[in-house]
Amino acid sequence: MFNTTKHKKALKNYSLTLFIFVLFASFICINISGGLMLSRWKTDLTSDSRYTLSKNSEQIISEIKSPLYIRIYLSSTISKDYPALYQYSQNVLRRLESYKNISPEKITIEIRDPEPYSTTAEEAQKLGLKSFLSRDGQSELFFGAILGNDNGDTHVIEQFSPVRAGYLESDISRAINKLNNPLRTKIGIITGDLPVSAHRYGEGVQNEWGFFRLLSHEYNLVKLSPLTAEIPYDIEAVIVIPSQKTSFLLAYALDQYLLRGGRVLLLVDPYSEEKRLSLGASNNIDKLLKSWGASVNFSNVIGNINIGEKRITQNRGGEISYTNPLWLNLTPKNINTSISFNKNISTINLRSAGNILLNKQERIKATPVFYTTQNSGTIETADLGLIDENELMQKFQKDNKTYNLSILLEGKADSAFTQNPLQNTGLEQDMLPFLPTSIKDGKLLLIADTDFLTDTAWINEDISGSGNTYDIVSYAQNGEFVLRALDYLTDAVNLSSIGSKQLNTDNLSVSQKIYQKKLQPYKAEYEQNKKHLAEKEELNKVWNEIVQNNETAVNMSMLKKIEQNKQEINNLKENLKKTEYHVRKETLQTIDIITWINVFIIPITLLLFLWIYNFLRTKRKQNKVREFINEYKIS
Amino acid sequence: MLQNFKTIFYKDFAAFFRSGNAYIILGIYAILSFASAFYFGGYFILDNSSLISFFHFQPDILMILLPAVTMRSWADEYRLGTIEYLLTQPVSYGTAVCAKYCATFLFGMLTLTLSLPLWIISSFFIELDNINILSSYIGCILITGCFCALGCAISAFNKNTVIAYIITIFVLWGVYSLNLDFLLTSTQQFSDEVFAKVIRSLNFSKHYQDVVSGQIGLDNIIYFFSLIFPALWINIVVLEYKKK
Repeated sequence: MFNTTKHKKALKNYSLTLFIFVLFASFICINISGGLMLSRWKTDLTSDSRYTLSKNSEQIISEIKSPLYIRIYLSSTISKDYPALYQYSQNVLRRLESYKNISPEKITIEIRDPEPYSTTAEEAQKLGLKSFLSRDGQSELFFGAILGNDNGDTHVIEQFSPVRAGYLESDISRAINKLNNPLRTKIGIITGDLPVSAHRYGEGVQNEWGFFRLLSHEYNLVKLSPLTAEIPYDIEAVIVIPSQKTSFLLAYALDQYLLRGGRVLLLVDPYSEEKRLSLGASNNIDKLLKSWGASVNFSNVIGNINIGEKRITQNRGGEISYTNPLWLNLTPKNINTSISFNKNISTINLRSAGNILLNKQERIKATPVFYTTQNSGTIETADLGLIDENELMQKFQKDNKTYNLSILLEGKADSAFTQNPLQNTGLEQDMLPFLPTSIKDGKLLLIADTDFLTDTAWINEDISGSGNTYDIVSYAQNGEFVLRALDYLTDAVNLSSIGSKQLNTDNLSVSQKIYQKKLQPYKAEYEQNKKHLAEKEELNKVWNEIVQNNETAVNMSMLKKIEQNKQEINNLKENLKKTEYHVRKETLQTIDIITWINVFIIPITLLLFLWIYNFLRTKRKQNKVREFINEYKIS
Repeated sequence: MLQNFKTIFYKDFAAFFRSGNAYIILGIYAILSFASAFYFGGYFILDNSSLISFFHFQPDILMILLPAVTMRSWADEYRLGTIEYLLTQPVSYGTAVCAKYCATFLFGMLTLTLSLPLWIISSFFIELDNINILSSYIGCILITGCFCALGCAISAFNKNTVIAYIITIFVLWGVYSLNLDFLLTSTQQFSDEVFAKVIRSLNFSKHYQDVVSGQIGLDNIIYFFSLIFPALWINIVVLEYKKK
C-alpha cells in the first residue's frame, strides 16, 4: 500500500516535470520557427517611419550585382563615454539591418570593435575613418563604416553623426549606389565670379563651399572655362553660374548642348549678396533663355513678408529685430513637392532672388520649382546697395503677386543662334556641327539666385567641419536640393527621390531645449556679441598679418588700435562667458526642479489621490453595510 | 463562469489595496522609474523623443516589483488554508487562474499608468514621437503580462510568499537574461544565417528592444504570448497536481 502511494507520487512528479519540459521545448520550437520565418517582417511604429526604407532605396539594393559587405567600426567604450552617440549607433545598426532584410543573400554586415591601440583601430585609421577622443582623452574612438564588394570597390563613411540622423538613409543608399556604379558621373561646372572651390587668399586658405564639397563627393566635377564654346560630349550635366558679363561663346555652348539633349542647372541672380552685383544679366543669357521660353527680370528683387528671415540689427536706440523680406526662408507652401527631387524638401533659404517670367512654348514643359505666395513684393535692384535695414521696408513694394523663383524646363527648343559664332574662323572644324533645333529633349533648371549656395545660407557653421561631406550639418536643405536636382538632371531617378527624414535641429535633448529657452531673453545680445567677436577676431588676424609681413609701415597709432582691439575681444569673450554661465546655471536649476517634481512630488501626489479614492470608497462601503445592518435590526 | 471570474478577480485586486502593500509597490515603482530615468538613464542628455531613458530600465524595475504582487496570489491561499474553500466552489481551475492572473496584470498596468505624467511633462520640452512611445508601452504591457503569468505560476508551487518572491525574481532574471549572443561571431550577429536567427529568437531583451524601438513584429508578439500561455497552463496543472 505504502509503495503504491509512493509510486503514484513519483509518477505524478515525473508527469509534471515532463509536462513542464514539453512546454519549454514547444516554447523553443515556436520561437525558433517564428524567428526564422517572421523576423524580417516588422511594423514601423515611429512617426517618421525611421526603419522603413523608401522604394528608391529598395530599388538601389535590388541593383546590387556582387555581394556587398558593410563593416562597421564601433568602439565599445562609446556606450560609457558618449551615451547619445551610443543611442544613435543602435539606430544606425537597426537601419542597416533593414537594408539587410531586403536582400539578406547579397548583404553581409560585420561589426568590429576598434579597441585602443589594437590592429583593428589601426585598420580603421588606415581606411580613413574619422576618430575622436575618449572622454579621458587617452584613446581614439571610432564609429564609421566601410562598404565594399567583391570587385574591390570600397566606400568609406568616415563617421556616423547624430546631427546627420535625417540623412542616414540618403548617405547609405548613395554609398551603395556608388558601389553599384563605380564610374562617377561627370558634371561640368562653370562658376564665373564666385569662389566656390578651395583657394588661397593672402596667407589663409578659403575652404570650398559646402555645396561644392557635397557635389565633389558624389560626382566627378570638371571645371569648365567661362569662355568655352563647346561643352564636352561626356559631360552629363552642367552647373552654370554666369559671370557679370557672360560671353556669347558660353551662351552658344549651352544652347547647342541643350539642343543635343544636355542638362543644365543655370543660376542667375539680379543681386548677388556675395559679390554685391548682378550675375548673368547679359544679352547672351537672355537670348538663350528666350529660346527656352523664359526670361529673368534683373531690375527687381523678390521679397515676401511672411517668409522673410528674422534678423537683429543695431541702431542708436540699441538692438532691434526686423524682418528682411528679401531673405526668403521657403516653406513647403513655396516648394513644388510634386517634383521627385523636391520630395521631403521643406526648408530652402534664398537671398535677394529674382523673378522668372514664362513665355509658353509648345514643345517645352515648364514646371515651377520655387515660388512665392501671399504678401510678396519687389524692390528695385539698383536700390539694394544703397539702403540700410531701416529703409528696406520703406522701399519694399507689396503687390501680392506670385513670383517664380525657379523653373524646370524640359523638352525641345530652337537655337537662339542662327549660326556658329566661330563660323569662318577655322575653329568650327573641330566643333560639332551647328544645330538649328533640338534633336533630343533637353532639361534646363533655372534658379534666380546664387546666394542660396553660400554656406551661410544653409550650413550650421558652428558645428560643421570643413573636411568631408559627413561633417556637414545643415539647417536648410539647399545643398540637398542641388544634389538631388543634379541626380534628376542626370537621370539618377532613385537617388533624386531619396529625401531626408528630418533636419537635425529638431533632434535636441531636453537639456538643450531648456538651455535654448533660457537663452532666449539674452539671445539678441548674445548673437550680437558673437558677431562682433568674429568681426574683431578677423580684424585682429588681418592686422597681425600686416604686422608680420611688414606690408606697411607699422606706426604707434596702429599698434594702439591692435591693443584696443585685443582688449575689446577679451571683453566680448568675458561677456559671452558670463551669459553662458548665467544661462547654464538657470538651466541646471530648472533641471533640478523637473527632477524633484518627477521623482518625488508626482509619485506622492498620485499615491495620495489613490489612497483618498480608496479610503472614500471603503468608507462608502462601510456605511452601506452599516445601513444594511441597521435595516436588518429594525426589521 | 463570468460571475465566478469577477468574484475572484475583485477579491484579489481589492486585496492589494486592503493590505496597503499596493501603495508601497506603486510608490516604489514611481520613484524607481523616474529616478532611473533622470539619474541613470540620461533623460536630459539623450534624444528622448521616444522616452528611451524611461523605458530602458522598465524590465529591471518590473522584474523586482511584480513578483511582490504575484507572490501572494496562490501562496497566501495555501498559507491561510482558503485554497480548499476556493477550489471546492463551482469554479473551474482555468477560471480561477485567469481571474488571479488578470488581477495581478491589471495591477501591473496600474503601475505603468503612474508613468504617464512623464509623457505629458516631456511633451512640454521636446517634440515626442508619440507612436514610438505607444509602441514602448505595448512592450511594457507585454513584459508585465509575461512577468505576471510566470509569477502566478511560481506562486502556485509555494506556500511561503517570501520563497515565492525570491524564486520568481530568480526565474524572471533567468528569462530576461536568456541571451546566447555570445555564441555568435561579429559577422553572425548581423548575418542571416539560421544559427544566428535561432539564437536571437530566444533573446528576451532583443524582443523587448525591438518593440521599444518601434520595430514590432509578429515574432515579438509570439515570443511574449508563448511565455504567457504556457505559464498559465502550468499554473492550472500545478493546482490540479496539488489537489490530488
